[in-house]
Parts: sequence; structure tokens; C-alpha cells
Amino acid sequence: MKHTTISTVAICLLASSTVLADAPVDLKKYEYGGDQASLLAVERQAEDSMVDKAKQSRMAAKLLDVMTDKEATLAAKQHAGIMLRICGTEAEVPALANMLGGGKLGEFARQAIERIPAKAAGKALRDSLGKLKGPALVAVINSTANRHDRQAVGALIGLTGSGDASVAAAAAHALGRIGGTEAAACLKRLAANGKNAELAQAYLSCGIIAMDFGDKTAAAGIFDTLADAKYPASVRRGALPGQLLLADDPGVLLGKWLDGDDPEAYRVAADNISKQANDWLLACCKGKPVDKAILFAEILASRGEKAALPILTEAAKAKDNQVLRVRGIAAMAKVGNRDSVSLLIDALDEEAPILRAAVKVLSTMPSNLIDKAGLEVYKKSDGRQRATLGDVLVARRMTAAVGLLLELAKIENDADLRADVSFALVTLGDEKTLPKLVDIILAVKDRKHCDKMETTYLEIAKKHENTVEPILAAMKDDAGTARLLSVLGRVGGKTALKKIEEAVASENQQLKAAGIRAICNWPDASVADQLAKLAKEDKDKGVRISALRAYIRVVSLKSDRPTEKSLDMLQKAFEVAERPEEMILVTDRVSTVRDMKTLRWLVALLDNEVVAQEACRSIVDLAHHRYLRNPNRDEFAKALKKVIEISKDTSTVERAKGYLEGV
Amino acid sequence: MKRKMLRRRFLSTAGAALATPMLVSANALGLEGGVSANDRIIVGAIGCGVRGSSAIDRALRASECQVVAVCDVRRPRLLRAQEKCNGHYGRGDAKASYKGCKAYHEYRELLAREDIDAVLLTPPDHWHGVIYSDSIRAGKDMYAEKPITRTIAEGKALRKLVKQYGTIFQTGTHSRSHAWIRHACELVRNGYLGKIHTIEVSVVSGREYPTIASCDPPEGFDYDRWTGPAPYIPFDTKRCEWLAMYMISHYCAGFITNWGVHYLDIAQWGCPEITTKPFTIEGKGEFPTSGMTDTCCHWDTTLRYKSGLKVHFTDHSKQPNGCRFIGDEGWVKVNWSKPGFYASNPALRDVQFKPDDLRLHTSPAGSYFGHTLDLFNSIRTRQEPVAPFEQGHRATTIGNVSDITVRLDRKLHWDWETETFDDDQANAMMSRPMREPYTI
Repeated sequence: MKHTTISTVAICLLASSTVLADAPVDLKKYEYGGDQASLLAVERQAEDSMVDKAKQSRMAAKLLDVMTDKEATLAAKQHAGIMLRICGTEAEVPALANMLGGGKLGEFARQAIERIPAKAAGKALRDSLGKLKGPALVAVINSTANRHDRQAVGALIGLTGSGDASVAAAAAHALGRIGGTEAAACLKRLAANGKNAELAQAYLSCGIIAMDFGDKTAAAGIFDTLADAKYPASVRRGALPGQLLLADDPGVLLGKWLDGDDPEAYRVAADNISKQANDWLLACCKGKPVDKAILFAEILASRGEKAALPILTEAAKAKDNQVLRVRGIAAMAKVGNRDSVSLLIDALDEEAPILRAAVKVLSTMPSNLIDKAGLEVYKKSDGRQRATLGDVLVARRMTAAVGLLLELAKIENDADLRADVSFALVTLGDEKTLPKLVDIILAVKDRKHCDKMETTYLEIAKKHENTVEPILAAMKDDAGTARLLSVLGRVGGKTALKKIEEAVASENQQLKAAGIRAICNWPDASVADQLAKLAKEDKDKGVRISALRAYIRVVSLKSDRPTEKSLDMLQKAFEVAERPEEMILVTDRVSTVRDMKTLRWLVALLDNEVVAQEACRSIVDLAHHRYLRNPNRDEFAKALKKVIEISKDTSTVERAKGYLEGV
Repeated sequence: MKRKMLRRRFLSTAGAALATPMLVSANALGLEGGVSANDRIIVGAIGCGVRGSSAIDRALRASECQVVAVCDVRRPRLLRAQEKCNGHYGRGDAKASYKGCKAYHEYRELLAREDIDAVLLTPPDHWHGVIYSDSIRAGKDMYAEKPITRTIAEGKALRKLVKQYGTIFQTGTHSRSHAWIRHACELVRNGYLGKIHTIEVSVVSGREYPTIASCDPPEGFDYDRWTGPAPYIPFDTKRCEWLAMYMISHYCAGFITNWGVHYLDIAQWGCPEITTKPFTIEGKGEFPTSGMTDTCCHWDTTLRYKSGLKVHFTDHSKQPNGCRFIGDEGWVKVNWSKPGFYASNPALRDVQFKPDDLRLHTSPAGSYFGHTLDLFNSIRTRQEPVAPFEQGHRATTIGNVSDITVRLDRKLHWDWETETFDDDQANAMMSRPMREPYTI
């Protein structure tokens, strides 16, 4: 990786006349596919030269020298042309103009001239309009448009009659981009039959330019013409909004389009009614059936206009029209009242589209309307209604619901309720919730329920500090301690560890077993030594296996430990493993240690039948990391080839092939 | 034609569904739940590469739309995409109504199809201006990969078209659809961090690639068409590939813009001042001195606003990836890693917004897929999508302004009203000429 900081090294280098002289000379020898150092140096110089006119002139002259030097390669000349786009000056125009349309440099010369701001550049392009043909002429036409050269309009009008269709089309497009009375008149004539979308688009573009120049009369004339139904729909979609923008009273036009049968006009009207004032919208609602009035009522409601509510309510209650019901409900957020809340809660028992609209609105309505009523219903509800109301509580961050949720959390025989309550508590609960959750964990009998409440505790605890205190405070006897050690282990921390170590060393078998379970659930690698000791020395095989599995898990978690150390720890775990399951687990988790030594170990394991397949997967996982793979291409290539050879898993083989291509 | 007009009438406004209820099914609104086959938004995809495949995959998951056409100048990719669409719709309920996915080499043929309502645009950056403008003129709504355009000037030209045609234009800045990112921006907007004085934005660094020998393009790859409006440089096997093409200035401004857009966009979503008020900018950049790439690898720029607000925009060698808002009462940082939300006070994650607090646009689902659903919602309701054109253009502009600043290595002033620098040379770098016959 070799970089130059522009501001420091490069500036010093570039200030040196030696480098200024040398870079374009080096450039002359450049061939495509060769090292681009000389190209990059010239590019930096071209950009740097722009700070000073004299420097820019010198640089441009050197670049032109490259373009005209017979000894320079074609690649060098073309790159010099590209650089002249950046720093070319009037002085280079004549030489560049001579290249226009010719050979392999014409296009590069054209782009350079296009960017030179001098009048001479515009003239050179205009002059060439009468001399060039085919694609070269199209390119120069585009350049005149890019320069917005109104002096070219006369010549371009002439070219719209060219026998070469691509030239004629380019000329028309360019006229559209340049705009002005003359260009517009020509395009109007050409597009008059309404059949050619490109010509009509160009004419429309003249209208947009006229608007930019403040010529509303000219713009209105163009938009009015193109709004006619004989023009292609894509053009009308551009012209109709222009008509609307320039109308003295847009409301009249909108009303006409909304009541008419022109689909494009209807589309534009519907897109634009939101710009109208409330009075206009209210007037539009009057006397219209609800399925038409809803269009206006939605906009009024989004502005908090309460007068829209009766229309929304009627729509929300519409029979046999789900679309209308959804729209009525969805628009109620800002204007709904207490009656609307009842309607919305009832809607929670309806079909999915209606239900979802209701949830969204209930989640955003003001608290004084929702909170009390929502809790009352939640308490009595069940099934889908309760689940969706739970979504509402969470979306509203309704902390007032925590008391009720804790009450419901005591009910053990309802898995759905358990899931709903846990979901809501995790979001709404805080430190004050934790002691009450501990009480529930102590009291419940069902193992699944207890586990769910522990998870809930853990999720809330993640967001707060000192979260072991409520657990420790509740450990008043051995039975209670044994019960709570599991959740204590999941929370982690020094205080918790001390308590758990005491339990592991305890004579009380119930306490000891709970302590071991707790340490095996520990969230990080700080207990690795204790786990290693248990895995090696405990008399109970079950304990040894649990501890080893926990050890493998925590060691392979993300940590600041040197990778070599992590690898060593996992290798030791592999050695003490008594069963294939743990050997496979190590082979799987070792891929988290992204080091070449890991790769080498895994390659060695490919010969071990027990873990060979898992080793294949882990090698591929390592190969995923470019920063590891790229500097060690050969070694990875060998390993991946071996994986392809022995892996029985199709996706592993496919991935290995992919990474092999990458190396 | 008659059928098409009626269907578009439905699609164009939610109201149309009601104004002509006999034309649409009960599910036709499609804001929630299933959509009947006749009322699906018909979609074409231009670009079937890394980004294109991802966009197509998400569209295939959405019942709101049906992908009927794909386009790419690399035939193998094109055929894979076509196969994927045909495979997806060729089973289950959709099978009967699906007429098949057509593969196009030429994108203008796809755009000419009247039955296509919206397009998923994922061409390389140097093609954005040309294809996006042609798509708008063809009357299509669109998902468009960021950055909006290769240059600032192209973005300005597109803005006019988007406005004139009323296009639903969703930028590919999908961070806006992620709930935790929206939450962070809402905290900032509603003053939960006090007055914001600094925003730190950092994205992935650029990379260098060694030069490799030129050769013939592989069978089925129209390299000339891929090059499109960029200068034609003889083919080699690396320059058109992900990620090398992002590091070559003919095709892309580099990660300073291409990747920068993501987190710069979050910065402006939380703090709109950065893309509405004038600023001065200065900074340093490090560029390759050999190899095939020529865009900024590392950069360190600072934007300063009159209010005292400072935006520190760098690559991730200078500060960790993400966007951090720092106020006088705390800070919050977001990125794409898990958990993605970090704050001076963890309780900020669970802030319950007050009814009067400003809430930002919420996508139908808090994920990348939610971004896709948001596009279809917008097309149906004709409301702005979560990532509208203007914000995409402005975030792209900051990336390009930063690139120009480090290239010129001097302090510049940027004015959002005129969208110009106070410096002729810098203004000259806001556009790049296009190869014949390409133009916007």
C-alpha cells in the first residue's frame, strides 16, 4: 500500500519542476495494461495546476505535446486527452479541433474542447458541425448542448433534417436542452403529429428551460400544446404538471381533471391536490359519496383537520369494501376521538389489512385517548387481539402497562400469553421491574415459564447497571439461591461469579449442581479457567462434558485475547474432549480465530475422519475473510483445493470454489 | 392499451381505486396484505449484478409487484436473473397469470414497454445519469441505487426531470428503513441530545488494485455498452468488477461518495441543516500512486456551518464506521453493525416519544426488504418514499464536494441555494463529459 498525501508529500513533489517535467514524459511510454503510476502522477498534476493560471497553461501545453508526439503511445495520447478535460485552455483549441472526427483521438479531443470555457472552443465545435458525419457529428452535437450554446441553434435546426436518423435525433435532443424561441418553434413543428416521443420530449424540455428563465408565456404555450391527448403518455406526464404550475387557479384545473375521464390528467391531479388549501379540499368533499370524498379527507386528516373525521369514520365502517375501510382507518391518527378508539380496537379482530392499519394508528394517537382504554382491553383480551395490542403498547413505549404485564406474567399455563407478556416487558421494563421478575422466577413451577422469565430479566438487565442486586437480595436460603443461580450466571459480573463459585464449592449437592449450571451459562470468557478445571478434573462425566462445551463456547466469543492464545485454548479443549461431539464443536468454533495458524491446524485436521467435514466448513469460513485470504493466496489455494476434494457438502464445495477464484 | 390505462389509473392514486371500484379487487389498495395478480405493480430491472440481484430478490419477495423484465449487458448474468424470475413466478398461485420474464440487452427497449410501471435501477455509477433520466422520461417510477449520479451536474439535471414528471424516485439509501437509525434521527430532531454541535461520519476506506494486462472481454459481455458514457479504456478482467470499478474515477467517484452517501444521508436525516445551509469545507486525501485505481483511499474532511455545527467526514481509518451525532446533552451513534445503536446514555434507545414530537417516515418493515415495500407503497399512494430523490441528491453532493475538496486540497465554500462553489476550478469539476453518443 503506497499512498501519497496530497497536502504533504505530493504538494512538495508537484511543486518541483523536475516532476512537472518528467511525469508527462513518462506518460508518453504508457501502454494499456502497464503500471499506471505515470497516469496517476499526471492526474494529480493536472488537478494541482488548476490553482494557478500560468501553471495550468504549462500543464495543458505539456499534455498537448503528448497528444501530438509521434513517439507517444496511443494510450498515453488518450490519457493526455482525458487530462485536458480538466486543465485544457484556449491555447490548445486549434490543435484539438484538428483532431475532431479523426481516428482514435477524435473523441478525446472533442471531450477536451467541450470543457474548455473559452469562446474559441464553442466556435471550434460549431464549425465542425458542418464538416463531420455519423457518430463524430452526434458527439459534437451533444457537446454544443452540454455547453448550452445558443449560437449553435441555427446549425442544429438544419441538422434536424439530416438523412442520418441518429444525427437528426441528436440535433433535436440538443435543441431541447439548449431551449429558446427558435429551438422551441422548430421542435413544435417536428413534434406536431404527436407520434414521436423523443421529439415531443425535446420540445417539453424547451418548456422546462423557459420556466427556468422566467418566460412563463413561452412555457405555458409548450405545456398546453403537449398536454393534448395525441401526445405520448410519458410526455403528457411531464406537460400536465407544468400546465398546473402555471394555471391562474389550479383548483379549477384539478377539479376538471378529477371529474374527467382522462387517466393521465387524473393521475397528475391526484398527485397534486395535496398542495391545495383546506377550504378547497373541504369544498371538494361536499356532496360527494364517501368513496370519492376520501381522497380529500385523507389530506385534510394528515393536516389535523377534524372536519375530515366523519368521512373517515364512514369509510372505516363501509360494508364490503376493505380498501375503503383501510383508508378510513389509516387516516385517523391525527383526528381520531374516543369513539374512533373503540372502532380501532374492534378492528383488531378484523382481517389483516384492517388490523394492521388499526395497530399503526393506535400506536401514534395521543396518550389521553389511548392509554387507559388500551390497558382495560389488554387485560381482558386474548389471542390475536392481545398480541396486536401488545405491539401497540410497545410501539407507544407505554410504561404504565408494566404493572399489568407483571401480573399477567404470573400465569403459567398459557404459552401465548407468556410470549406476549415477555415481548412487551423486554421493551417497557426497567430496573424497577427486575425485583418483581425475580419474585416471579422464584414462584413459578413450570420450567419453560421460568426460563422465559429469566430471558426477560436478562434482556432488561442488558440495558441497565447493577442488575445482579435484585437477584442477590432474593437469595435468602439455599433453595432460593439454587433457584436463582441460573439467572445470576446469565447476567454475569464479578459479584455474581463470587456467589456462583461458592455454590460450586458447596457441600450441598443441589446448590453445587445449580452453581455448575450457572457457570456453564456464563456470558463471557472470564470463567474459562474455572471451566477448564471442571472439564479436566470433575469426577462426574456429565459435569466434565457440560463444562468443556461451555469452555469452548466462551473461548470462541469475541475478545481482546491474542488469536494465538485463543487457538491454543481451543486446541487444548480438543485434546481433552472425550466425545466426537466436542471435537466437532471445537473444529466448528475455531473458525472464529482468524489466523493463519488456525488454517494450518484445520488443514491437519482434514486427515482426521471424525472432524474432517467440519474442518472443511471452517476452512471455507476462514477463506471468507479477504484480509486473511489475500496476503496468503497460495496457502489458501492449497487448502481450498483439498476442501473441494474431500467435502461432502455441496454448499461448502461451492463456496470453496468461489473463494478459490478469488485467490 | 385500454387495460394499461385503467390499471395505471388505479396505481397512480389510492383514490383511483375508489373512484373506479369496479376495476379493482378488495385487496387492490395493497398497502397491507396480499395483492391480486391484476393489480400488481409491474416491474423491470436494469442491472443484474451484485446490487441488481439483491434488488430483484427483494422484489420477488414482495407480493405487491411482479418482475417481468430484466436487462444487463452481461449475458450470463442476464440469463441467471431471467431464470430466477421465471423460476420464482413459475410455481404456486402466480404461475397461471405470469407471462414470463423477458431479457433485454438494450435498456431502452425495456423502458419502451408500456406495461412496466416501475424500474429497479442498479447500473454502475457512471451510467446513473443517463439511465435514470431516460427512465424518468419514459414515465417510470423507480428504485435507484445510490449515489444518485456520478457528478453534481448530472444530479441537478435529474432534479428538474423528477419534479416535472412527478416521478416516485426512491434512492437506495436503505438505512432509512432501519428502525434503530430512524430512532436515532428522531432523537436528534426532537432535541433529546440538546443542541447538536458535531456530527462524525465515517465510511469504508477506498482500496487500490494493481494494474493487470488488457485482454478481450469474455463471451457474452458487451464491454463497449458497459463503458457507456465513460472513456473507453481497453478491457481487463478487473476494472468492471465489484469492487475495483468503484475505485476508478471514470466509473465512480470512489467510496468517498459511493459509500459516503449512506452515512451522510443519515447525518442529514437527523440534522437537515447540513444539506440546506452553506458551509466551508477543507480536508486532506490520500490517493493511489500506482495500480489501476485513482480515487481517494483515505480522507479527512471537515464541514463547518455558520451555526457552529461541524461535520467531520472521514474514511474508517480515522474514526470508526458510522454516524455519530454529538449534542451538548449527549451523543448517539448508528451504523450497520449489530447492535447498530450506541448512545451516551443507554436509556436513549428506549425513549418514548411524546405525541408532539416530530416523527420521521416509517417504512412498512424495519429492514432492507421494508425499503422495497416502501417503494411500492409510495407508488400506490403517490407519497414521497422514505428515501426521496432530493435527499439522495444532497447526500451524493456532499460526497462529491468532499472529493473535489481533497483533490484540489484547498478550503472551499459550498452554497446549497445555487449549488456552486466559490471557486471556478471546483465548479468545473462538478461535471464530466460523456463519450459519444451519450448524453442526459
